[in-house]
Amino acid sequence: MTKDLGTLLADIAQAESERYERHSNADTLLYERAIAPRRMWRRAGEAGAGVAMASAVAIGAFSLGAAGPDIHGPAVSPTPEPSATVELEPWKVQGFALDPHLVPQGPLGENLTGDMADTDTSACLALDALARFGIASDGVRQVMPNAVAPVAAEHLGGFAAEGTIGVYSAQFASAADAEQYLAHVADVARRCGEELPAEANVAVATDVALGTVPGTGTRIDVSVPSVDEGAWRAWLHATDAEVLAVVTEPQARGRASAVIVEYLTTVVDVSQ
Amino acid sequence: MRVWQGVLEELIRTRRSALEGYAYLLAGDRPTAEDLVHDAIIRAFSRARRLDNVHQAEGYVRRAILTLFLNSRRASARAMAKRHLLVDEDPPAPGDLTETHDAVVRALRGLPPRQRACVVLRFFEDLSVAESAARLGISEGAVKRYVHDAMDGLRSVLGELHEPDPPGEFATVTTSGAAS
Repeated sequence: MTKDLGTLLADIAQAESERYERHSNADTLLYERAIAPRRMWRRAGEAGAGVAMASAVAIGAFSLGAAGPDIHGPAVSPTPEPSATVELEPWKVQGFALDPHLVPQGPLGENLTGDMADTDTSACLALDALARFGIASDGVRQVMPNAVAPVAAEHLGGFAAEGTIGVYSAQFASAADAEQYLAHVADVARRCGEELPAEANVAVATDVALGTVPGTGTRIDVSVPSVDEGAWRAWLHATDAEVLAVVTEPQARGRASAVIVEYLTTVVDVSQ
Repeated sequence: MRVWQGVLEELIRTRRSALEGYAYLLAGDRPTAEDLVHDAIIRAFSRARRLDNVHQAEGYVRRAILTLFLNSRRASARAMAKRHLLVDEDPPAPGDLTETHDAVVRALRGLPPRQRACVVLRFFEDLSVAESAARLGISEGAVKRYVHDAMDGLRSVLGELHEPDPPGEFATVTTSGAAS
């Protein structure tokens, strides 16, 4: 049987769609309970602080979303729905505009092939997932099954600089949990370094402060000469119970701190 | 009921199953596909965008599915690397996917995530190279390379791949006798 690949894919998707249709029991209310507080806080943030990036406001929404407010009462909408139609300017850092769809590669590049094929890289894969708050990934569960999890996390987007820069945010239940999460990341990074070949290098710096903004962070640099020149960088910066993670491909490593500072001073005005 | 709530209800009632099909092509398994769709709906509707019709909302959700899929690609890569350890790789239920479908899904699942995404965007969503590049945030050359490598990968599993139509597009695949 010969079929056009597009037709085959359409057939497969259709079959899966029909299978789901037969067995689904979708509950819209569950979605509304998850979405409403996030929309509310996003709009409130736009109106109150005049921020330039919609994504950032979601961080504040997570804590309320976890608390489970009554989303159906009149108090949940401080501004009328049409305010959600405002088109926002994209957030820019050093001239690069945030693209919500950009995702940087991990510390070992795209594939587990070539020189890395025979290496047990489970901790390095877990490191990549942890740096993006992918706490539920198989890799993290195997390497660190008891890792503290954020209340909520989000990929805010990325910047297409010399390499791709990814920006992720997470809200933890407490500042202690956020601090513990950074300790997990540092621990897994060190284990990643033990797994890699001798020519690779993993540098872990903790309690890294940025002079102009509050909070401290953990900075990981992973250099694997056979994968890429330079170092993949993950920089997780905690401010109370919130953690911002900036993941950069090697060529853009030097821009991570600027993203953190810009985020905390421009998007989330921590001085307020 | 707010506007977005009405759109959400219609999306889930009329388009959720189609989104499952799309996510299934990317993810290659049902639990992951369902998680992707679930998370993508929340993500898309949580953003302060104008959501006044279901078609627009579906577009946002599809983009979110793609982003979330690529975002979790490391876990996928690891799972792929361990697939040879599985005794039986998710055999289809009787009367479920056809043998050909199953072979294609397995072949897709064996591709690295960005290659898989390019195949789905180019041949399922019918996006051009330029559109696919814009959607993924990569260069057109990278899309071409991913598609080329993906077709090589599909050939290695599915067998002969016919010349594309139009030439250079790699759009036709022969799957006879491929599912072994």
